[in-house]
Amino acid sequence: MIAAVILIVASSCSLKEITYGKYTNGTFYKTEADAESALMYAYLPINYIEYAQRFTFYLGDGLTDEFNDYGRQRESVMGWDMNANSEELLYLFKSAYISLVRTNTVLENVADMDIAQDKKNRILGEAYFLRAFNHFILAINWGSVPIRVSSVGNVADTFVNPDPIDKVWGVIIDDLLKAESLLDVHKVQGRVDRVGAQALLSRVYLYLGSYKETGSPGYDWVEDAEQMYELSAEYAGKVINDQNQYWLDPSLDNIYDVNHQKDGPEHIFITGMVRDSSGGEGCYSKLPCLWAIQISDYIYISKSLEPEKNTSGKRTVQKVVDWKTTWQTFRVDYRFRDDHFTRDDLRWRFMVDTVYTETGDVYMTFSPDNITSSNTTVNKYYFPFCRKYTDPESINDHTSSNVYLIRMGEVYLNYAEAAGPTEKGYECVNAVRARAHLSPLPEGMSVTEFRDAVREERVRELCFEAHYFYDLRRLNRVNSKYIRYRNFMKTYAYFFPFPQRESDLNPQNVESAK
Amino acid sequence: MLLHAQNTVTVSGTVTDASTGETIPQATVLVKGTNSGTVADLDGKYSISVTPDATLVFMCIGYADIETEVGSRSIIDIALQPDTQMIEEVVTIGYGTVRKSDLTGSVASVKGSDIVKAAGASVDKMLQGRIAGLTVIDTSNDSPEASVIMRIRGVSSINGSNSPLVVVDGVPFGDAGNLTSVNPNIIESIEVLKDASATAIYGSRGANGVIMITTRNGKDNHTDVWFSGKVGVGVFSKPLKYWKREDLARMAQTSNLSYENGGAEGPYMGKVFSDGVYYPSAQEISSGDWPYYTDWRKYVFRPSVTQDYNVGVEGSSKGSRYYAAIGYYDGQGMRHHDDYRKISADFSFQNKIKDCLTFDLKAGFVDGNRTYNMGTSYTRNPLWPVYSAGTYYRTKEDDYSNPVMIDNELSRWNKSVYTYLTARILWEICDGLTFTATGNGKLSQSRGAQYSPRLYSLAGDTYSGEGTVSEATYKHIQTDAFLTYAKSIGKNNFSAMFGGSWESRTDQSGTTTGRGFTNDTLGYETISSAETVLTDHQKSIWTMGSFFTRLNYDWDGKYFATFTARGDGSSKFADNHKWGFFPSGALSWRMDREPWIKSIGFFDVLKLRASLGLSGNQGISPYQTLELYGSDYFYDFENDKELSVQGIGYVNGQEGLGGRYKTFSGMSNSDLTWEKTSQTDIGFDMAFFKNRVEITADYYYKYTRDLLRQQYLAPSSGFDTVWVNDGEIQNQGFELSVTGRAVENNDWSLSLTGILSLNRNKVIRLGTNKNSGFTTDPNGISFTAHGGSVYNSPFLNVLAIGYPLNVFYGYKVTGITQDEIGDGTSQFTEPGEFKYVGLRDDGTFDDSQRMIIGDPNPKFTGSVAINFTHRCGVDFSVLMYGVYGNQIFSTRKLDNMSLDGLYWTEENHSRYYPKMRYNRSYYASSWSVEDGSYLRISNMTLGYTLPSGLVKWLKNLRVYLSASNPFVFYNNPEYDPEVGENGTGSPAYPKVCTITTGLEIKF
Repeated sequence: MIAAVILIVASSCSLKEITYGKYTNGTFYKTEADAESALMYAYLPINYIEYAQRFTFYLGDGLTDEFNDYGRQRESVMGWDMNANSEELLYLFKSAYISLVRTNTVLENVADMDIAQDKKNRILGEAYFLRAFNHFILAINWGSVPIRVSSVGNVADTFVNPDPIDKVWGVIIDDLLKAESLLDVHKVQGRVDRVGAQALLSRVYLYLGSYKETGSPGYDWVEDAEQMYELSAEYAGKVINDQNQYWLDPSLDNIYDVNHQKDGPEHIFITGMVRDSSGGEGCYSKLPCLWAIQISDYIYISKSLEPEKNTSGKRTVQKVVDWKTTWQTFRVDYRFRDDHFTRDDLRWRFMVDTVYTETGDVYMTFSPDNITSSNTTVNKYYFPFCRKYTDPESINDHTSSNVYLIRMGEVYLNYAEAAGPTEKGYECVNAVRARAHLSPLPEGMSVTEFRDAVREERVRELCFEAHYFYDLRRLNRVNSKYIRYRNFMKTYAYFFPFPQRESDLNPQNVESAK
Repeated sequence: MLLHAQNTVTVSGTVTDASTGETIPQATVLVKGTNSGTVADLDGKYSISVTPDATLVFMCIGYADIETEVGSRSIIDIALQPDTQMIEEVVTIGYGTVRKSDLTGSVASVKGSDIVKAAGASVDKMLQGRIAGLTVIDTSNDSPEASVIMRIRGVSSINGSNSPLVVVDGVPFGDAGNLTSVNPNIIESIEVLKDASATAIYGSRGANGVIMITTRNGKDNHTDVWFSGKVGVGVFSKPLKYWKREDLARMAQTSNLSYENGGAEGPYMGKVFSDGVYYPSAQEISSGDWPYYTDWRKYVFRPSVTQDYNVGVEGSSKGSRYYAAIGYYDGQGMRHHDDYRKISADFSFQNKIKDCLTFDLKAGFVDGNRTYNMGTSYTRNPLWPVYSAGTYYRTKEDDYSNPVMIDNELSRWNKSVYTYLTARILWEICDGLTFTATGNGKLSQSRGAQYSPRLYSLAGDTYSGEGTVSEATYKHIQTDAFLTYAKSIGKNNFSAMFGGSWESRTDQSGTTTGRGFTNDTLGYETISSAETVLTDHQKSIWTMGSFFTRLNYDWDGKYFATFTARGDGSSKFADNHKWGFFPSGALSWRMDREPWIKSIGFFDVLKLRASLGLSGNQGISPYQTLELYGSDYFYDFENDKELSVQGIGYVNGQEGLGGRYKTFSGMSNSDLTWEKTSQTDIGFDMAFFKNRVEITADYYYKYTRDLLRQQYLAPSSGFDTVWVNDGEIQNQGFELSVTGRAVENNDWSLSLTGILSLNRNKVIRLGTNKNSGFTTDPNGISFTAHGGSVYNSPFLNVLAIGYPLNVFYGYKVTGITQDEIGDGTSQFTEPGEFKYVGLRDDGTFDDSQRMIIGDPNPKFTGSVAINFTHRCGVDFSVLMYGVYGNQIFSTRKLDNMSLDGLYWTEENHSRYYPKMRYNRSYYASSWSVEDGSYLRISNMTLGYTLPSGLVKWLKNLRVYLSASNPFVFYNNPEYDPEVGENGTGSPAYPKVCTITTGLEIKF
């Protein structure tokens, strides 16, 4: 009896749950390294295949004329076959919020930490940037979404209404301004600094200006398009002029060279996936396998976009990836190339039309007729594949190929489009053209002509980098003039269907696309 | 010796039953302290030569032993008293035992010796078909560790554990299904507690029923040494389908056809295909230019040999009893290296320290050694040779799937040591008042290693050799103490039990992964010198405190009432929800003891039972009430090093096709508490024809509330799931168990046992409206996905309100399209494709046309056991087990299509099978839904027992031959119809039929 009583007393004293080896809010955020660790953890969802490593390509490029399925199986969302249950839409949406929940936890916990102010500012500044970046991705895809600016602590916190679209953009701008004020210029691959915040601000204001200017649906509330353009040019100008760690890389080869992602001056925000990572996919990438064709074991392409310098008659070549299996998920439509590029444009060659043998002899060339060839090797080369994502030193299919989230070329074009045909505007767009061996734009263009020319330049410069579709949206161009080869769905032209799971599990929600 | 011999006298007499006066045949008469003795004849007469100072012991099963000194007597007639303890079968219930006739709850029992008929690593598998209401699903097939799925009275939880609680010798052990730490050969009896009255004593863990295992304990007045040996050979119970050499050209043509139908050139063209592999053309194959043919079945499989040897001793001396056994088990799977060996030792000692104080000790250990098959498959292309150019043949550089290469070059093992000790004190404080205190400790340590070498594995090539060493330990301490008091006043009999328990379990594990080895010769052994070493360390602690009570009352042995209650406090739940209270009550009425029933003279037993109670479920892992962090890797380019980084939320699973999307958990739920199941049970037990027919029947109704389940969260929360308590499901069912001893005479006996169980379950609610985790489709079916993806559909099984658990949700297929539909742009609308309901002419799908397309829950399960024994010593038994009325999702159906040439072609317009097509997208559809009913001959045993007394020094000798799973009858395309309870999981090969020869000797 006594023993039993003792047992009961003993038991009631110590049923407290003590976690071992698993951090909780109460046991983390003790040191600067903790804070930095949690911030890095918040960056990681961007690398997921559900996010920038795959699905933003499905939408940003996959819905435009850039790709064609060539009558073969494709991911249904890339054929505009989408609905509220489309998993690409659900998981992109979810991944942005996974990053947000991590980011908010960083912001809430680091603010009260007793660590060096400069370190604290850097961590908080990057977190504000991340919060803005995730909300930006949500806004350009769905418009009105729930804003997440605080952490989620229990089931009741999960029930939130989608906020009006103007509030979402308001949060994006506020957070970017906070990030700009907290951050210094400090270039590190995989992370952002003040320049990143300014660059994204220039994109945000450019989007808002053009949404309004072109009458793109859902953006009547933007008050003044010109004011937005001015702000866009102001921030693009800061990026271009007010720092000395980033500049327009004179070499296109260099930008897409896996060995110069870290030191390339072009990259303002680039993911930091590495081929020899201990982690899973997302810590390394498989990007080249998504783009490359499969003809023989290894695909060799010219090392440079520039004409061959050696005189042996052979091309200096590199592997696309040191791996034999590719998936050809993103099949470039040669008509996109023919419609937008001229042969003298160096960027024509981003869509590879010649592959080589290991020793540099021509192995095969692309022709639109290849697909119907009876030769079973030739008919495998049925599209001019994109070579922006390569890693000749990959470890099997683990590559260091990364996603170019923000780069200087874009900021130059942001500036030009926002500023219009000013001297500086011409200077910026012509710098981008010159890098691709194109002559300057003709002098004396009207604002409209100039902006259209810059927007066309933007197609050529930023294709295959998940920009094109979002540019079409902000320019009110999701129509058959600009999407010529695809059956697009009018219902979801400007806002994607709100994920079914979100509406089902968050019953206050109403479909934002209405 | 000689001296004694001169003094022997012959003693004879008759052994009778003291209560009836009838003679008792074949009673044993032993000279105490020796092994010599005799057996009385069928008329109860015996004769034996002994010395006058000897003491004779008279023994017979069902009677108390009697000892008497010979002295000067030459005739000793003995009247044995029926042993009430033996006749009144005693049943173990939680924290006590009860006479079977006094049971108020629904408890079924089975003897260990009745079920251990084949060599096996654990007893779980052997319980299939033995107990009404207990479902055992064996999907592990040939695994030498033989884990199974066990359910008592259906599934009452959605995500929490559904496995019954196993209690070994009074100590709660954990979930049933993989009880390799208990040697089946030392099990005395197994009781299955089914209704709430019986299980509520285990409170928070009783909702899924309780399996009580009692191990052997030594016997009074016997000293036995026994040995049992079993050797089993396993072969497939039906042939594995395979391409014959003469069919290889057809195989190539069929494959090419499937590519052509998909708009691509096929592989068998005599050149390098797009996957980088050279495939010979059909012409090369049929002409013999491609000379290779490999029957991979021969390389992948072997006849498995399973051995199980046990030796034990049991006996007693003054005031003490002991039992010791040592077992060796060596089990093999059908594939190479799929082996499990264990050595177990168990020891039991019971000592009466004083008349009122008994000390009981059980201890033992299991030393297990598991090696694993590294994933060899017989489905490798039969055109590939085993070896080529002096080494393993590989189709291309990154072909790592040659089974012979895998068997020879890769390895993984796990070694474990498990020890336990249970000490118990029974103190009879005064008449009727007993104090029992028990302490139990279990310790387990396991260590495993694996190495992936270069050249032979993808991981090895990717990381320049990858080795893993892992270690896991747990410590589980349990103590309990309770007081029992019994008192009779007139015809009123009371008993009361009150006690408490405390339990704590600590798990720790560590994994070290090394990547980058300078060479592969020493494998994981040189892990510390690997270029990169990753480590992981985990620990969790769980504690639970409880108090419990049971009050029994009966009047005159006719009317019984039991009240049971338990309070449990678990660390797994939120601060103000830690404690749960689980009461139950039961009544029973021994009608056969009423004069008016006695006057009918028909019933030997007639008992009505009714019970009502509440039990709980806490089958979740610890730490779900707190927010939890996860970790991942981030490359820090600033310092050029890889960092392991932490933050809120961790990956808790995958979802979507092929599990390609991570799911996250880690949000706290500060309200998490018990899942509660209330259960009503009404049943009767009856026996008639002099106990030759016994019938037990039960109806039950279970209702589970506060379902512990993983709630799906809105994606905007940043998490996927959190454990919550909501949702309600019900189970109701009927169980019938009939045993008839059809023939019972001096020459032979024949008994039959039939068991029938049926269970119906239904999802009643899934959360509240506000906090709903479900989707409502346009047809009004509210459901939530409950299981992984099949084909291109992200899920198949759903929990749908108003439907049974795990029903299949998908498209209906009404046949095969014979004429082209639409404009021909879609693969789905061509002739020879599935005719889906909801398929539009443009090849898109109307997902609102999906519906419930199948139900994996059986209408009933049943078994029949037949036992035959003949006086000459021959016995024969058969166990048949059947499942009826369930559906399964068969994926094997597609494989058979090409092998058997059943597919649609232009010439042969099949109305049932589609055409071959390599790139077809498959959806969860009714086409794959098949009847899952089956009837299995689970076991047949033929034995011979040497008649006692034939060899003086032998107490018992039995040899037998048994066949497990020799035959199964069913009607679906799978190799075996026994799949998981959600109706999925295509067995990779047929069930193994094991032929076992066994020998049991007792001295």
